[in-house]
Amino acid sequence: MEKSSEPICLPRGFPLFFAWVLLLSFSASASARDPENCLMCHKYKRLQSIADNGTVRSFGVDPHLFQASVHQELSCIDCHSDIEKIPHGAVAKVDCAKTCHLDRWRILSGSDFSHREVAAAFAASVHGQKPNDPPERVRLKPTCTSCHANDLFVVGQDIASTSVLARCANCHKEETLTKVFTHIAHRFKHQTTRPPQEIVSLCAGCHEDPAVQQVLGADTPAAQAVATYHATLHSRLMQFGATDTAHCLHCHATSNIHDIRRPDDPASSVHPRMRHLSCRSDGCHPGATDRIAMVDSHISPNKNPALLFTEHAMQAVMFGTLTVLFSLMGLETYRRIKNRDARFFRWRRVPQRLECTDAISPRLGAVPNLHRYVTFNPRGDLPRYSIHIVINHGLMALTFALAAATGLPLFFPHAALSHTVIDLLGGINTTRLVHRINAALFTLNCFYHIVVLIAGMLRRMQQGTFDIARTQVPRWKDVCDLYHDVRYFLGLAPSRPRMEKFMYKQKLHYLAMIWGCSVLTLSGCCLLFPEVMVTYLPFTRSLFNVLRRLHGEESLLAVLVILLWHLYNVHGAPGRFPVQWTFWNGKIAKDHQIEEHFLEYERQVREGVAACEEERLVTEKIMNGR
Amino acid sequence: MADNRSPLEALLVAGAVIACAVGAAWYLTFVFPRQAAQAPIEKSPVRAGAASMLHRPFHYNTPDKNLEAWSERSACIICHSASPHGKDRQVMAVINLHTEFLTCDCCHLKNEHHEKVRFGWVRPPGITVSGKPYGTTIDPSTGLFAQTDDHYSLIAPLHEVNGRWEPFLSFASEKAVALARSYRERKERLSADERTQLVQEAHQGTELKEFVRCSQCHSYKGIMDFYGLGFDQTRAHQLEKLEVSGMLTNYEVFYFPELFEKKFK
Repeated sequence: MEKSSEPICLPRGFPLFFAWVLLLSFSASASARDPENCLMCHKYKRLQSIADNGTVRSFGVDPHLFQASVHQELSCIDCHSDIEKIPHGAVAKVDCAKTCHLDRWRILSGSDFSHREVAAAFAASVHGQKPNDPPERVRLKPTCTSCHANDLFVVGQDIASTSVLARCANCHKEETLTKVFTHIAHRFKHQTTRPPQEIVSLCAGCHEDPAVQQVLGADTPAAQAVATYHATLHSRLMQFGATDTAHCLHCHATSNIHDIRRPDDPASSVHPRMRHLSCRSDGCHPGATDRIAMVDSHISPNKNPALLFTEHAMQAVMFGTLTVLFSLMGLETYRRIKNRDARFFRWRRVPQRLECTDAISPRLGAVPNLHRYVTFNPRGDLPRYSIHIVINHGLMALTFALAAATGLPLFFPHAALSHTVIDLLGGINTTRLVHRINAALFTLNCFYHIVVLIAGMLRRMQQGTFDIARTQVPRWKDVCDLYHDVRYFLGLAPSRPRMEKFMYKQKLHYLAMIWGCSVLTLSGCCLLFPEVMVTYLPFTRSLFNVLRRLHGEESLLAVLVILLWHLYNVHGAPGRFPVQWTFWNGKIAKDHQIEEHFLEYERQVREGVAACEEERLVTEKIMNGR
Repeated sequence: MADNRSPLEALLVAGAVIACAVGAAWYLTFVFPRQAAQAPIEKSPVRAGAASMLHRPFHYNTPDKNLEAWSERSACIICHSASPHGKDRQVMAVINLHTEFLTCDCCHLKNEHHEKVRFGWVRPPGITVSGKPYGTTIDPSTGLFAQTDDHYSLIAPLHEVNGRWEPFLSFASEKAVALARSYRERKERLSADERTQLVQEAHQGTELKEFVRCSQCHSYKGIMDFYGLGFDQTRAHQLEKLEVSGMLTNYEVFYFPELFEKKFK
């Protein structure tokens, strides 16, 4: 066997400074310890055998990896202690809880090193083998090496101790000092040595495995833990590379890491009485109170009826909304093309000639389908919106587009396009910052709009010109207009209804925007300030989780409606394409005003803002008739 | 125009438009989000099943580049894998480790051909390297194999064809690879006679029983010229004496295995 000498034994409590001096006397070894020359054979990665079940087992040891690993100070037989001859046969499983006779550790601590404490915590955890575990469960229980590869000696680069070390290095050039000091300082900062993605992947390797789920019971929370975790914001941020988001160990273990217990175990870090402490740890949610235990941290509709209802309700709302909107779009497009009252490109539209046989009079409303005969300025003829509303709309468009670009990728974390977008935006942390600043601007703009509305209303009331018919408030007439318009689109009515400044489409859209802005703002607050919102929000258990769920669902619906309906109606429909300039100068073209807002046109004619087109047509007809 | 009112047209238009609208809404509500959610993950962590997580190698986490390069380019590996020796449980691992450095015909070439060949390096087609083959050089600062970009070269017996030295057996030719793939895919459907015929066809020139022994290579006057193959002096010296010096000097009790005596004298 190996010719070993007696280890150096120093009394417990040996003065640390002297130990440090002794430590410096060791030179850092450049190569892994291998006194038995085991690497003669084991350095080859193809040192492989075939097990009885046909699987390949590798006995290779990567010498470069071993040299840089946490176990570099150990020789092979320190762990594989039952090997007594070469070549050897099957070896016993390594007991990680055994004592390691590490000279350097003994000098520092006065005792031998051991993983005993960690092994005890692991044995007591949900992953430790229990006497009453059935064999199929024992087979699937992890061991140390299930999670730990021998590659964990990672020295933190960004540590505050660098400047301290620089001063020490003026005298102490030894590499060992740097390594040990940096290693300890690194641990003081409590940095994890594995990225969260790898930790989640490690846990998912078993918890997503059908064999494990079968043993655990497929519908138990533990069996669904990975799927329900991936529905959370924590997971989605993690999948885009965020390193400061919660992974499995952040919540399910204390700083011991190995003491993962069942959630109903009072000692578990995720037990309802302990959960807020876990949320507070690592500085994640410092203000978390015990009410945060009400939050469904693994979002699962199966265990939350309110969430299940919300999910189905949002699907129904989306399906119903899109069906109605697409139907209106289709019918309107069909009729506009069929009636040839619109060339597809707006700039090619020319007014139709009013036939001399048509009987007309110069009074307002005497000419049916007047919009077909009027001339217009494509940049707009008549005032429609104030400068404040134009600014409101512009800010809303910008902030909404940016919010969708920075937020929707998180709703579809699996899509390749989402990752491309996040990369283009500068990574997930930059994207989060942009999304939050943008959300603040979005909310401020909503308040600005409210101020504009109230001020405008007060001014008109003061002038005695306030008319509720000219506002976005829904009225019974809007329902009648919708019915009339559908009949026109189907060819069952001769002309479109005479509608107000805001027709039924705009009111529908405006109401949806009020609902959407409210939901997005409230649910955004739940995501950004969970510890505050969970404290003050009523019906926390249901409402909080529902709101978080709604943030993404509502955004998707809003994006679809804006892209497919709003933009089509305003800029894409035949006769409107490619652009209307109302969003820029607040003016509306005469033909558009007459076609969809005839009552507003009438009002503007009476107020002298617009010319009476019927009079112009009569004059032209008389002149042409001569 | 709207004056020519036609209820039939209205019905047809309404039906067609609503049907299209329902289809589009259905797709956007129920199909598109699901498809997007199931799209391939580009940057997601690699997942493995419980079995592989529980038995993953503790001491090795680097990919086998050599195997990746040869796995579909060598007829031998296609059929036999990179761990072809499985009969003798106690020595198979030691024999298998050679597949990282040698082609099969280095050991399994028929004796009658030995006079015609010399050993040289072969690489998979399309792979270019700048360094020396992995395992030929020892880094004096670490005592380990020096780092290199050539993890692909294998030692193979070569013979001269029109003034060029080419592999004696065409284990990497398109024909041999196609034959091996075909055999792998159709194996279960072949009769015993067909299998025998294909196996014989594929193993022409190889000797499966009277193979090269350890000492024929690992000795000072072995059949393989380690220096000529580019091994540095330290590494060549290790290979010529089977690297046993470390064991002999570090163990008071050294059990020389009988099976090595018996099988690999």
